[in-house]
Amino acid sequence: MNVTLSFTTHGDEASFYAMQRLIEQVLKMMPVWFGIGFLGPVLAELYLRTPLGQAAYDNFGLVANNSQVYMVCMAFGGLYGVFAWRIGRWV
Amino acid sequence: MSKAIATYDVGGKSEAELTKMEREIARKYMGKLSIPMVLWPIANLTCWLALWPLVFTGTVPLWAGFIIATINVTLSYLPSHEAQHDIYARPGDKLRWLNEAIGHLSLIPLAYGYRALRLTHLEHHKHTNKPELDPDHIFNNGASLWETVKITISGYQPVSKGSQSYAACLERLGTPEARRAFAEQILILLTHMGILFACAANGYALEALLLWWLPMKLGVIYIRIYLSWLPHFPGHATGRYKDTRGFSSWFGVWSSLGMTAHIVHHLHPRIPLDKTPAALRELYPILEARDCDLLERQHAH
Repeated sequence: MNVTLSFTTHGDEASFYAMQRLIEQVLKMMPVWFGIGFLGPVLAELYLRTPLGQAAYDNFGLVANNSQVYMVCMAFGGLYGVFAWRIGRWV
Repeated sequence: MSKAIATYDVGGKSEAELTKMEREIARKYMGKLSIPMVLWPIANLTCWLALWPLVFTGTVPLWAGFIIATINVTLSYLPSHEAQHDIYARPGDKLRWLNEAIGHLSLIPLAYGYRALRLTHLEHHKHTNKPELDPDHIFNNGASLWETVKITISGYQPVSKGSQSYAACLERLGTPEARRAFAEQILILLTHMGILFACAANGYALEALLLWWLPMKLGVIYIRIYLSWLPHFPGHATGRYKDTRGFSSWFGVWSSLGMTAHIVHHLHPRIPLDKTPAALRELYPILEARDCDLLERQHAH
């Protein structure tokens, strides 16, 4: 019984630390999640919901549908997030 | 309450007599529930929460929502600050629930945890202006307004002393309460991010940006300037009567959110915010005798 208990406790402890490491890693990479999940969509909405999209079409002939705009902006946000995560600074 | 600075004579009073007088005056302003300070967080949080549906439905334009939200977020810290000092009600009091409710709820727009801010703020009071122990010191020692803004912005970077100052303070405390406050703060941070992401996923990224994320950044800059930097400038004096000073604000005491009388708060933290200017006027001769860094009488309050 004691042996089982000690194994269980050890297992619980190991999974606790594994969970802690996972959370730490997720938090450390917050700039990446922020870039993909928020910064990218903000840029996409700036393009789609403001005269920016029309200006891009008028000046550069850029034509893109919503999904393409979101994809490009979220990719940019993610890459920028990776930069911020690795360098430790957004600007 | 008179708006004039008190003129009683304290010449020849001993240290003990001054302390007794100071405590007696301070006590007059403590212990009563301040109704404006109860209404402030209720009105502020209600207004900020109401902005979301009003902006989402187009009733309020986004630019107006942004301005109102920035004011709301800036105003969200001080009621919690009152609660951190048990000003609404002390442990065991009948209205303790109100103190704790305001402490937690008023901070929602700032996406900060009440426990984390209470523990770190009490450390700020204990160790004001001591570089190693005051968690606010990093934000208080800017040489100019612009430098303070830059220090605050640098605190938004993923890895910076500013962004880690409160976490380091909680780690240094190392108590179960500090660990709980830290865990709570992480949960709040993740929830905040989750809400931003959910808004973005539903096509409301600009609304989330202008009703929460950007107002938070701007509000914190204002709070840092008025609640941290100006009252403790130049940020290296220590000692009960030296670590906080009087200063004037361009648009009067309430444009500084009452911080021009912050010296009273550091001396007697249980005086409600809205009573600190009056308390400063009455305490002025004693503080003057103690050689505090005050504005001259005609500009003091």
